[in-house]
Amino acid sequence: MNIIKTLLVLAIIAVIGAGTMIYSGIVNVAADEPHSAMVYWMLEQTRENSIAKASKDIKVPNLEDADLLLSGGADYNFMCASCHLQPGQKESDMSVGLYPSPPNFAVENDEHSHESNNNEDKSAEAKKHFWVIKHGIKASGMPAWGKTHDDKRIWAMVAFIQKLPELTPEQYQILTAVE
Amino acid sequence: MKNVSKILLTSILTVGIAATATAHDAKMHMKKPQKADCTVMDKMDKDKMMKKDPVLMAMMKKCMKQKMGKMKLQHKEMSEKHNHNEGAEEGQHH
Repeated sequence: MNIIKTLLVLAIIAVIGAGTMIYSGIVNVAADEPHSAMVYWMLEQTRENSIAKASKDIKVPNLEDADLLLSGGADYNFMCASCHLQPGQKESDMSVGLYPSPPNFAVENDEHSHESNNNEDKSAEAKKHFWVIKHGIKASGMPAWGKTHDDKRIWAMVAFIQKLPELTPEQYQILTAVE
Repeated sequence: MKNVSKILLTSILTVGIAATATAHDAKMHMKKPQKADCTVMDKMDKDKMMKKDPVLMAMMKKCMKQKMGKMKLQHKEMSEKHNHNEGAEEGQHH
């Protein structure tokens, strides 16, 4: 009986705590004020695990295709480059202003370079990219492009993103140019 | 008179500040479609490149398309010029 009482009290405290947090306005939602390390870690882990789980059964098509790169390049330049940057660019208004900062796809980070040595990891990365481009991420600035773009166009963007760290600014210009 | 000069001074300052605040005009963030700069391709040593590299193949496709487009346009212009000259010559004969 005591256990039930204790649980009830804890539940009431939790509800009051949540209500205070929601209605008092004490939570700072400003994007120029970073989360605490603990909150950041929690949100990042939640996001990464959610994406990995949701994308694990996606089948990756052959992405080593010139036409996919041309289609994906033009779309990347118009839809993604302002946040995820392009070769030779270090930052943009969007990459600086958004929180959390969007990943820079134009450079090979440690995680990517390690993964690129392993085809299985490269495939997992492609699945994740496809899922994120298609479904977006809540409250992060990443839109769900799947609402307006079919899977073929999204795979083309994934193919382009995989090649992006290897591209020079000149190669990027040719591949993304619209005739 | 004092009020008029105050208003004028304020207006000048406002216009001056507004003029310097164009860095974040939305138009500046819009991307204009650009043609592929294929001159880079001409400088590349294609023999040293991997022929099956999809990046190289994509670049070649894009630049070939651009070249073909230019050639078609030149051909059209030449045939139009030719037709125009023929018409002028026929006019002289009559």
